[in-house]
Amino acid sequence: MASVIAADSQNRALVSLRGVTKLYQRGSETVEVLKRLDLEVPRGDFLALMGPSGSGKTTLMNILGGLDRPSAGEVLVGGQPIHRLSERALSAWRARHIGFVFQTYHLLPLLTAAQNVELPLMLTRFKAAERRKRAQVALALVGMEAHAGQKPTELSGGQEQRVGIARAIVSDPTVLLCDEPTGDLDRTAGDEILELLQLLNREHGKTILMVTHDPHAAAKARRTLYMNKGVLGEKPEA
Amino acid sequence: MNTPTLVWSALRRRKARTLFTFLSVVVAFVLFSVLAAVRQGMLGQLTFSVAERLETNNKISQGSPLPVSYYDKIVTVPGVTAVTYLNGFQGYFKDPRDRLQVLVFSPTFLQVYREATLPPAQMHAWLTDRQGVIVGPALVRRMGWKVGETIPIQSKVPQKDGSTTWYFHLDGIYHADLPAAYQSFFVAHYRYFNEGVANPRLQNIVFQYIERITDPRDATAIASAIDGLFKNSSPQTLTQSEAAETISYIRQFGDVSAMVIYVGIAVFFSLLLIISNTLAQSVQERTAEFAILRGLGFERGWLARLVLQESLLLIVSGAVLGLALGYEVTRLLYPSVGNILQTFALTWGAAGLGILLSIVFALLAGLVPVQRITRLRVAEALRKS
Ligand SMILES: Nc1ncnc2c1ncn2[C@@H]1O[C@H](COP(=O)(O)OP(=O)(O)OP(=O)(O)O)[C@@H](O)[C@H]1O
Ligand SMILES: [Mg+2]
Repeated sequence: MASVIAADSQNRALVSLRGVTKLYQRGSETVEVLKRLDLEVPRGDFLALMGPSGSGKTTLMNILGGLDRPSAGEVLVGGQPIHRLSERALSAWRARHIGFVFQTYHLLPLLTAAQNVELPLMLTRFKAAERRKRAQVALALVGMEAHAGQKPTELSGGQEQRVGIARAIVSDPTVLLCDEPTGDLDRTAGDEILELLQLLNREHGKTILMVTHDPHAAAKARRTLYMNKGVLGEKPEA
Repeated sequence: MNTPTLVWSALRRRKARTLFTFLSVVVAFVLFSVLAAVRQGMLGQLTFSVAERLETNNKISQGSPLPVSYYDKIVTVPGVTAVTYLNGFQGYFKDPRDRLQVLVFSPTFLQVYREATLPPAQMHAWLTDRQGVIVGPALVRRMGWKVGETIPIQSKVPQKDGSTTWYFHLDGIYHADLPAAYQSFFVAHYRYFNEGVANPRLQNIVFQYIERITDPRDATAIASAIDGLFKNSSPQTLTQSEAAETISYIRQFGDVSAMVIYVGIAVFFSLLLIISNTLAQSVQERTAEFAILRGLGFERGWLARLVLQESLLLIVSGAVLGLALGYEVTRLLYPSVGNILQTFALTWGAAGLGILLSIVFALLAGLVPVQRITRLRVAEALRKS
């Protein structure tokens, strides 16, 4: 029914979804939020995901990132079927392979920018000094090294999101999942974030999936897919 | 950055609330200390009691005197091996604040109170010295006295020559494996006081007779034999075993202390409920943060441990401070309750129990939050915030 949507069929897909269905129970009603989705994302892609509110974009991102499980279908990342992983294994897998960037940044309010960025490294074997160094490098990459000691409340939205991105990339994950990363930002700050994502994609080879409502933002990605009522398409539904 | 940083940052999140919770824990454990001290005080009375001792008091009112002449009759009762009697007066040494109770006993004191021992030479010195006194080690230390010294005690009780200063010779320092309250007695001779005191109404009276008996199983029979001797005299006597005496003594205020303990326990547990609720609330508020941490790959167990450490840090440190303050409080209260509860004190055992209790509490208080974290549905929690 749904066709496999791949940007470059020569490239072996880094992420592939096969027949992914997600059902939610709403009262006595069962809602099919994702309908037998197929998707292939090659390594190095920068994919924008658009679509009306409630169409299932966040649900898809959550399933890709191992925060939620599909009701049916397969999710393979780097060839690994993550839908079969135990809760514990999935946690470890997330730490290793996924970097999340959220619309509302979700930084821990009492930690400094540097501490927030260092957080994911607490799950690694790196020593304290190495962790601090890596956090510093990530902060420098997003242009926030001068604000390392500041708390989130002392930062602007754009700056917070930079820190959020630094946190997402600090453990060098396989995929970056960004759910409306510019949704709370004005055009200027949003553009800076998009340029940063482009840089990470082009210069550092990061594979990025980004949900956005803004066609201007989607235009910065390599390609755009449209979600409509749980179905993915290459064109916005009329 | 490390785990303690995270724990600490969580506690600093709402400083006022953390402080309030911490203070509640401190207060709860100060309360615990006082209750433990009351209990220790009641227990101590009983431990000190010896089944081989009987006490004879005025039947009508315990504080009223008995004639010293009863002694000759009491010693004749079969089963009684030794009898002593006591009188006493309040005085002070140099500084009116250095108050002490002068106890005057018959020379048979040491035969009845065998827990008190002293070197034979000192015992001999005391027995042969009319103005002699034996003193507990704690009092000696407090006053800075030395054996052989003459000690002037000022009092409101004049001697026959009009002087209110009584002179004693420190002949010995007794040793007794008993709680602190028993380390400060000042034991002088009945005869010295009785012959020296000016007021005839204070002469030839005693406040209590204390008998040592051979077999505690005969206590009841011996007690009634003693009281039988004075059935037709005035005043009549009431003889009880020291243990029974202590129990009835404790009963006078025992109901009150029991109530204090019950109310205390209720308050203690309510405080803990409040604390546990506060912790749960704090975790609830941080739902999004925990969801993020889970998203970053931290496992449930890791987060659960984080919360438990938070709870342990808050509650156990509060308990330690509370017990330390409680120790001071019990020390400050001692002068006012010590005459009823001589062993009123926070013991190491009770403090240890307090710490243990605080650990159990910290874990219990963490239970609800931990459960909340374990059940957290990450995707939903992130969606909501
Ligand atoms: N836990 C849940 N239980 C029931 N229904 C849910 C649950 N989570 C999401 N949904 C529903 O699934 C549908 C898709 O939600 P989703 O958040 O994926 O949409 P979205 O495309 O990200 O929308 P938006 O653009 O507003 O973020 C919505 O109708 C939503 O109400
Ligand atoms: Mg969404």
